[in-house]
Amino acid sequence: MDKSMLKYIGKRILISIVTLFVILSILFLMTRLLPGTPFNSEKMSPEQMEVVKAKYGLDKPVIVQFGNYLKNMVKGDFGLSYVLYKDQGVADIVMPRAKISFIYGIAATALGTIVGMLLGIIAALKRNTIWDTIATIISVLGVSIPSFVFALLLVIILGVKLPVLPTMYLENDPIVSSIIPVVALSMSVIANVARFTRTEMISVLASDYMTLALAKGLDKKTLIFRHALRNALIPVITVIGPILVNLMTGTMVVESICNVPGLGQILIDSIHSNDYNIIMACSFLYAFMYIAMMLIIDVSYGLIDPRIRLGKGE
Amino acid sequence: MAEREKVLEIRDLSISFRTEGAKVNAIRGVDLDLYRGETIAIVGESGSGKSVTTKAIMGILAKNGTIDSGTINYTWTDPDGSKHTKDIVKMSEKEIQSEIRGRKIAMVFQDPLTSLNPTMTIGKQVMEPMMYHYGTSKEEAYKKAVELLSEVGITDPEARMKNYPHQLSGGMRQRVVIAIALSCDPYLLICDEPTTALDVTIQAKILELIQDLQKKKDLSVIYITHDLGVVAKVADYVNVMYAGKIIEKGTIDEIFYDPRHPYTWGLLSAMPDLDTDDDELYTIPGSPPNLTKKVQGDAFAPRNAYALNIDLRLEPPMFDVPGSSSHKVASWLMDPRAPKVEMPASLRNRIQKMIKEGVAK
Amino acid sequence: MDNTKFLPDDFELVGDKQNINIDEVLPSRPMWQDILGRFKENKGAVIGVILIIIITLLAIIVPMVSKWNYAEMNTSIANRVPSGEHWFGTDYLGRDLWVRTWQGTRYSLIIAVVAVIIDIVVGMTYGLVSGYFGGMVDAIMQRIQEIINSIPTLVVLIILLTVMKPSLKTVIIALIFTEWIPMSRITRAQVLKVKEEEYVLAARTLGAGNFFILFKEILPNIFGQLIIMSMMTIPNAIFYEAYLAFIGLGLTKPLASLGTLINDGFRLFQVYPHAMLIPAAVMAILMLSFNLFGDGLRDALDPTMKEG
Repeated sequence: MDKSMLKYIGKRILISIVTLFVILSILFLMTRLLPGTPFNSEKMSPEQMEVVKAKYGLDKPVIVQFGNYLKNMVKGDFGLSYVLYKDQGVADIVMPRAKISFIYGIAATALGTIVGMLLGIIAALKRNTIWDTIATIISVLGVSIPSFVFALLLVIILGVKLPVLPTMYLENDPIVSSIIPVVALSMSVIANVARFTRTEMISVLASDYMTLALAKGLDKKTLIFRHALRNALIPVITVIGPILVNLMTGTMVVESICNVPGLGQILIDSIHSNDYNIIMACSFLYAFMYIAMMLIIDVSYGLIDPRIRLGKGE
Repeated sequence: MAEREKVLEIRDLSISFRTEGAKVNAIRGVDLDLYRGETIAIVGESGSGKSVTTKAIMGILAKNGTIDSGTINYTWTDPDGSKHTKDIVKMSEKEIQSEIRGRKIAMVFQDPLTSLNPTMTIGKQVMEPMMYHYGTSKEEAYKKAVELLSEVGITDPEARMKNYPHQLSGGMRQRVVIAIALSCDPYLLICDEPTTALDVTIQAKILELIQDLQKKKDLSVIYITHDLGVVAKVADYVNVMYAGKIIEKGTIDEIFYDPRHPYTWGLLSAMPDLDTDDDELYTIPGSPPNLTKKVQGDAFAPRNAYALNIDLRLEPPMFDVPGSSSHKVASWLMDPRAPKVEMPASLRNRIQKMIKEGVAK
Repeated sequence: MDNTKFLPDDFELVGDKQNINIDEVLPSRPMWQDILGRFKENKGAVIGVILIIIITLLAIIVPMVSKWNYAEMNTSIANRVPSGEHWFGTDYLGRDLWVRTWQGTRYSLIIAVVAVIIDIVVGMTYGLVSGYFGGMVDAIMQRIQEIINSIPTLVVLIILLTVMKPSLKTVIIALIFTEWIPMSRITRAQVLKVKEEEYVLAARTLGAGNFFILFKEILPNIFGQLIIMSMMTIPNAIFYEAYLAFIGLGLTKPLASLGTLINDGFRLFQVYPHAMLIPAAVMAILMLSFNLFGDGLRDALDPTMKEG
């Protein structure tokens, strides 16, 4: 890794921090400046309200509140829950859930990317045959059918009609419980990756360097595995970013359909009950995971592709 | 001339391509001979079928292309001195791949910027064919690759081995492509427009390099080009191709100083040179025929100012030019009954000048 | 040679009887016919168009002619499965789902149209301005776009959720925030490509103003790409509406969109899956049709982009 790469990574991390700060500020201001408080549902007199507000530090000026919030956040303290889990530490509520959401997201991305690449490669190699058609149909369906519809279908078929999989999250069997949500989430990844891989692979197969490799007298297997695959698959990394965005949006609903104790359900609940600190913590974690993944993707692309890694010579 | 050893003999080769709803007869009965250590050039406009012919020799026709008829006999001498001749058309894909391609016949491509694998080091790409075909050990292949790279004029070859293609200039990359072609000690080298994509200043150097290597390794070379300047520099024999047929063939002197086919006249007239006094560069009128249709008569007739009535009706056979064993022309003008037609005066002047200056070698 | 018969005039020059300067021109068709031809060859695209037309017609006609009203409740017939009386069954409040589904499709289609308008008004304009003026303007606009783009859609939605009440307006605002970025990127890239073309330079040297060049020279030449792009946003928008409805940001009752229908059906879907599956299927078919249509359009307008 040379200097310019390190400099690039440094710049990206800096931008990421700024973005996260912007997101946090907007969220904080939005939640604090708007009418309504987390305690609307509790019938309280104005005096009682003042007491409650003072208890959570909500009586101070917004800027001071924000300062305190940031200070605590650095220490890993995301404040207390106001409504849903009264007075419990948000970090303790949210972190285990974030872990589950994160693992599901990674599993769905990995599964989707691998299956999608395979499909795309097969479609490109067996172009204009039944295999290609099947892969195309799968990818059009995968792009067209929202992940939560897939989740519903899987729950109805595999969970209700032929009950082979649980429709709920089982503490003691997290792997079996994860099958439906992870498969449902991975469908759109499969579709997008397959489409992209097919196009890439077809253009690689038609490239001049493949003709040269063919002229070297290599057999088909060597041609594909040594020369074509690497060149076709490297660019796939670039589409994983946008795919992750879709995936993350999908998790919220898929989790709630499959009763997964992830960030999705608690985020929806906290929004409906104005539980500010949980909203803040969840959004922050989503944003953090997203930005971190984007950073990892961009950097790894730079590391894998020699044209970017080594820059121009001479 | 000493005993010439025939390396390649193509007879009556016809190739067609299936495209959407139509059959394109890209090659229509081509004969070609190549002898050991000699160089032939195939000249023609794009679409004339020159590249298709060489792809057929390599067995790398596109999937929708088929060889309808003909033979491509390739002769080589094994290290023990025994001679073998095989018809490439009859060989299986597997045989061509493991015996011919890259091993006995190698190819240099047009665009060095795109013909190297962008994610593989130069070293690996040069070492690959010998390790694959001959099972050369890694150490030995490395040594030979470094040797090859310095042989093709790459400075600091050891460092270059670790480079990726994008770190090298176009000329350097073409040298690498040549090194790859030579890595398995082929007998026959096919150069498909090897200098078209390069800067003019580098073109001559690459041509010289190929010539030097040819002499050193006793290679037979086929050049495919539309550039008569290249032909003049390198070729012993020239085949002029038009619409999938060879319409005139002969030694370099015969084609340049005594062209007989009106199309060759056109090509020579269209060749730019420094002191052309005409205001405008000559171009051949019209455009090449649509090969999805059956060609009636001489394919060049519709663009030919010297066309005879028979040209529109019957395809001309190959006529021998009197007094030469090598010069052949496919034009009815060569028939004794045809009117005597002379090449345009401007071309005659040009040729006079060329002879004086000795453009062809 | 020996058996060829020669005619008496065989060896006379054709001379001026033929014009050697004529280029043989292959028969060509007008461009739109070419596009239409290519489009028609694409079976998937044709099926897509037919489905879109059928769905649109049903969405317009069914709520007008049906004997049921989409808001009419009758709890005595709640949760009926599809039958001759109620073709798609009824929901948990006894409302006829046949009518509600097509009524909901109306809203989904309206949202799709709005999304395309947003794409054109916001995305295209942003891309045009950024790409055409370049320099400082472009640099600033690109940085802004980068920051907005690096905020995940989900977080944008959360922010909206904390601020807004569920309504059609909210859905549209959510679309405005998220949908225009891909469009503006494509537009900008296309403008950058076309801007240096000879005909634009020609117009400029002839003294044409920026406005004229943008609308008369650049826009017509990149329009194909933009149409393709906006067709691709439709399925996305339909999905987002459903998604927003699902997390409680959709239309307010008794209005229905496909998303709110799916959300309503979700409560009892393990027992009465029809209430959820039917609108979900209609939505999936609608998205599929637009995807097929968009793909077909892309291949027809720009065959070089076609991979198949």
